[in-house]
Amino acid sequence: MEVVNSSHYDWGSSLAEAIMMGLRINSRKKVLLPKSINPLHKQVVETWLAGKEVNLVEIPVDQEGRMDLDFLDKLDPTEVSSIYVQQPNYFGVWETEMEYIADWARKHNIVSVAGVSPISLALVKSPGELGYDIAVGDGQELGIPLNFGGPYTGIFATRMDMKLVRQMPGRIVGMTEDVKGERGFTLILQTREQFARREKATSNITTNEALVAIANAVFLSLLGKDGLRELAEEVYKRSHYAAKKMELVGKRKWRSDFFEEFVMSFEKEYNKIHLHLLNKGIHGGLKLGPNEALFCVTEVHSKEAIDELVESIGEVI
Amino acid sequence: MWRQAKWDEPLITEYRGTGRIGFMVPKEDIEVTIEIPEKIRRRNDPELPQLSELEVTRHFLRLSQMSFGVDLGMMPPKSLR
Repeated sequence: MEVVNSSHYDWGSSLAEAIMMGLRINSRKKVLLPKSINPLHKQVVETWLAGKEVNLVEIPVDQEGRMDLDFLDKLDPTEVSSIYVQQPNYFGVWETEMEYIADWARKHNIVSVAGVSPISLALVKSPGELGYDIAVGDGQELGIPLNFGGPYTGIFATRMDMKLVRQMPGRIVGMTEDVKGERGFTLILQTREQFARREKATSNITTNEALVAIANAVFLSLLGKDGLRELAEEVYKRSHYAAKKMELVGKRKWRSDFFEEFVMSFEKEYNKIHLHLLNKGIHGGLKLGPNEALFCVTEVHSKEAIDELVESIGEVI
Repeated sequence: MWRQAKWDEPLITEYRGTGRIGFMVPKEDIEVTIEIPEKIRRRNDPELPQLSELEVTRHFLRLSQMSFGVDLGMMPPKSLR
């Protein structure tokens, strides 16, 4: 994608802005969000849409842990403003029908939004290649340490289509030449912004996350194209190693291929397992149901730590 | 009195490096085959530079020497967002 703005707080606020942008573009009143979306992002969207009389429709999950595409056929597409897909989804599962969803949206003049994990893009096709209108994501995994919720940065990009760019929130920096013919950078398309348009601006809630964005740029420059792929492959390998090992003590909820995160279900209540892990100084997975938890494994988790986690769970089940 | 440094610094994407990585990815000895579903598997490399740690450090430090901010002097409120 060619146009990126500056900037949003995090993935959730980028997504909410993308949906607002969709509403400005086609003035329709229905927004499709999959059940496999991060619930925190969903809360942000719900908050932002409060009072706008927009109908949020949840797309169910099929037996593979992916978005149920049959659901799309039951809808009247002329009412739909935008559709969102998260890749990999909240359960870590790859959404394989990304291209179908983007094509379906284009056919019905629906704004398509893809939420992506930047590191996973070394392995899977990017939203731009798949034909999405807007891409959102979080810069946290690009070299930013965890810090009680922030500061992070929300990534927001669109295709170079003026119908989209003119409705884009936030600041846009363009490249130009100065009087000496030297390259320079400046803010462009400022008539969308709050200085000129007040409450009619495309957004009043963007923020300067430049420090975090520069850290993202440094991190990506250091990794480069080979490093990013190596990192993504290492995350993939370690998470698959962990998932396989975890099957000694529980069951994977979905058999589909995944990245970084996976859902395990146990015969025992997960609260008891989690408490036992905490007592051993291990922070377990995120509870999703009475017997289910979402586990995340990245390059910071050593093989030894994964083995210890599985052994410790084995002690209580 | 602040006098701006001036480097003829290209964009980082204009550096012509090949095969260099500025960050050592930690690796574990794990035998897992990567099997991304065919429909979504990426076939082309992302457009990112291939530079060493030193090249990246110099690039960003040169840019920082050319810029001005509150850490160097007065920056009145609301002069930037």
